[in-house]
Formats: sequence, structure tokens, C-alpha cells
Amino acid sequence: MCVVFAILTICALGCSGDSALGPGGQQEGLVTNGDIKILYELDLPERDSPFPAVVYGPGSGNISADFRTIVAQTQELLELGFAVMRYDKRGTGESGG
Amino acid sequence: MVGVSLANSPETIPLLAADMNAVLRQLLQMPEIDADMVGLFGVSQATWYVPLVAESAAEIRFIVVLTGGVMPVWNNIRYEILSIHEGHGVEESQQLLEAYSGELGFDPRPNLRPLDIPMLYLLGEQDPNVPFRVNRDEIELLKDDGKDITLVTYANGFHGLDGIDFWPNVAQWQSSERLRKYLKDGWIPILVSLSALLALLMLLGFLTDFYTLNVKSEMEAIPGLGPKVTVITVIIFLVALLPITIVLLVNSALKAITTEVTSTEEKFHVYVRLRADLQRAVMVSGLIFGLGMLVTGAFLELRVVKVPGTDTQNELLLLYGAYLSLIVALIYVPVYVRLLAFGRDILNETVPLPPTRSDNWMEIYSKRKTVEGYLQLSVLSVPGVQAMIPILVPLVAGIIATFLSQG
Repeated sequence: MCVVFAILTICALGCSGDSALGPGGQQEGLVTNGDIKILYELDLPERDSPFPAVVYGPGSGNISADFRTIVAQTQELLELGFAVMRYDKRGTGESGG
Repeated sequence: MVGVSLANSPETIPLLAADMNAVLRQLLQMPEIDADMVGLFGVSQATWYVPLVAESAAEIRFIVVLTGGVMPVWNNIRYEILSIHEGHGVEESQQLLEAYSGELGFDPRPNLRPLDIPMLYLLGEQDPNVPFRVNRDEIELLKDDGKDITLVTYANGFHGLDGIDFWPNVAQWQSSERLRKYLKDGWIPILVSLSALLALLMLLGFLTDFYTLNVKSEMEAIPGLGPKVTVITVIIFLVALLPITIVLLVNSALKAITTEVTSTEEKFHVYVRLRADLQRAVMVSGLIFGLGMLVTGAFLELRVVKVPGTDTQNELLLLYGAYLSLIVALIYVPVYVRLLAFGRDILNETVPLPPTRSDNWMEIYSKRKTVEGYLQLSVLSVPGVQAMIPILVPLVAGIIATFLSQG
């Protein structure tokens, strides 16, 4: 019974450590969908990683990742703690199509 | 404008979805990303291709749509013609739209129906591009269908919700979804296994004691008692699993929430809820263990009565009581301390400490005391003391059982 009590006590104490580090930063790059190249921009929030993340899906029209509203909304999402991946819609900015 | 027929044709939407999916693939390779919390944020037209991406990508855990509906493309186009080009206004256009029975075009609903993820739709009631009422009704239908959709509407909202600060709603939704996630998947299997192991070990310990203390031969003198004792012991410790699990869940939720919830108001709600859960859980676990002690005492007493010459083993009862109290304390106290630390964070955010030579120091001090009282941060507060009671219940029950068996 002593052994059982000892194991139980260890179990009861079990609480573990926290997550790793990660800075806020930016990255740009190209991905391809078929023949089309798409320019993306990734922004990371100013807090420890890992981050929740969203891909930003733009509305209609010729909208690039640097569209004013998209930049503003990206900023808001970053403040909520999301990493945000936005991209030039096909046929706009530096994306093909 | 949302509706341009060619830009939203049944051929174009899947192309836009594939573009987003290509970007998503890239995102998922980033080591900084929490792969369990990847979602899509779609605006306006994206409302049609976002569900398509989510349907094809199991990695997507949530979607947020800003001023986009769940109706087919042509429902929107017809509405835009009515409200913008023919100038009927938002209210009249929605009424006229009800009579529309023409082409539908791309329909996002077949892509939405298989989705088993939380979805947030933000709609403006004055939106001239997205008909509010029909989308609200359709979202209600999807909800009835079991879809996890939250709809937030803005009475003065236009397309894109320009000029409206809808972000607090997104933050609130996100943190409550996150809390649900921690309470729903991921942690539960681990904690339930841990609690099951805990209970199994206790059960083994108690049963070992029964049989090693020559109880077996004595029990044979009382027909049917052995199996009964075993069944009762098993039931008590299985029931004890639940509150222990809740305490540990509160602990993991606290760990998650202290780093991930940013709004003070939301933190406050979470704090109040977790504190209530924790106190309830520790109360229940204390009572179950106390009940267990009384049952054990009753069993020992019965044995003394039925089997002449046996000892009541009062020391054993007291030892069990003390041990169970210790276990409840060991599980509960670290979580309670963590909760209090979280509460202190909220206090510091709500009423920050002033610089030492501030003139209004007394005023801030009394404000802090008020908030502190409301958060019940003092260990000697009424709930703090109340919480200590369940910890002592098993020990007290052991003492009571000892007295009863002596009487």
C-alpha cells in the first residue's frame, strides 16, 4: 500500500511546464497553384509561439495583400494573437493569372 | 461589390479556393504555428470559397466570415441589382428578393454542411451587398442542423462593417471557442486516463488491504458481504474520477487562458467561471471521499459485530481519512494557487498599482481592495475557507467513523 500511496502522490502532483519561444516577424514568399504563382506575406504576432493562425481570404475585385483594409485588418488580427497569412489575389499585385 | 457574374462563376470559385489552399499549405509548414489552431478569415466574396477550402483541408479548425452570407451567388447578385442598381433600399430589396426564383449559381451550403468546426459570421443589417435577413434565417437552419455557427449582427453595419469595431466580438468568440477546445478535446483523454490510473491504484490499494488483513476468511463468515464491499468500493472511486478530472481540467484551462485571452473583461468571466467549477469539483470530491470513509467504517463495524473477536482497526480508518484529505489537498491547492495568481493579474490590469508617491494613492488602494474583495483573492475570504472544508471532509469522516465503531 505504501508504494501505491507514493505513486498516487506523484500523480496528484503532476503539473507540467510551458511552451517554447518565438518572435513577432514577417516573411514573404511565393507558392504555386497550377501555373499560377501567388505572392504571400506572413506576419507573426508579438508574443510567444506557437501562434494560432489564419489565412486571410480577400473579397471581390482586384485586391492585393497590401490593400489598405487588408493591412488594417491584419493588424487587428495580429493584436488578437493570430499569425496572419495574406496573399495577392490572382491577377493582382505580384501574383499571376 | 460582391456580385460580378464571371468573377463568381461556378468555375472561378474553386480556383480561388485552390489559391487559398496553396497559401494554407505553405502556412502549415511554418514551425511557429499552432497546427491545432489554424483557421480561415474570409471577407465578402470569400464567403463562397472559404467553406470549399475548409471542406478539403482537415487542418482547418475554425472559420470567420466578415459580411458574407451562406446563400448562393445569384441570391446576392439579384439583391445587389435591387438595392444598388435599382435603388430599392435595403429593406424593400430584401422583401423583393423573397420572390426571386431564378438562377442560383455557386452554392456554398453543400460545402458548409459537412463542416464540424466552429464558424463565426459577422453581418451588417444595412449591407447593400449581402441580404441580411435571408442569411440570418439560413444560418439558423444550419444551426438547427447541428452546425457550430455563431452569428453576430450589427444594426448599423454596412458592407465590410466599415467604422464598426467588431474585433471585441471576434476576440470573445475566439477565447470562448478556445476554452471549449481545451475542455473538449486534447486534454480530456489525458486527464481522464490520469484520473483513471489514480482511482485504479487506490482501488487496488484498498482491495489489497482487505485481503492481506485476513479479511477474506472473516468475510466468508458473512455471506455475500465480500462482493458487496468490492462493488461499493469500485463505485465510490469511479464516481470520484469526475471531480478530480474537473479540477485538472480547470488547471489546464487556466494555463491556456492566462497566455491566450487578452481582454480583461473576458478574463474576468473566465476567472469567475473557473473558480465556481473548481469549488464545486473540490466540494464533490471531498464529499465522495468522505462517503467512502463512512462506508469503510460501516463495513469494519459490521465485521466486528458479525465476526466475534475482530479488531475495529480504528488507526487504519484515521490513516485512510488523513491520506484522502492529503490527496484532495495535493490536487486542489496548486490549481487554487494558480487561479489566485490569475485573479491577481486581473486585479493588476483593472486597477494598476500607482507609482509610490502618487497623490491619489489612497483612492486607488481602496479601489483595489474593492476589486480584490470581488475577486475573492484573499485565502481567508469566505470561499477560500469554504474550499478548505471539503479537503478536511475525508479526515473528519474517518474520525466520525472511528467514534461510531467505538460506540
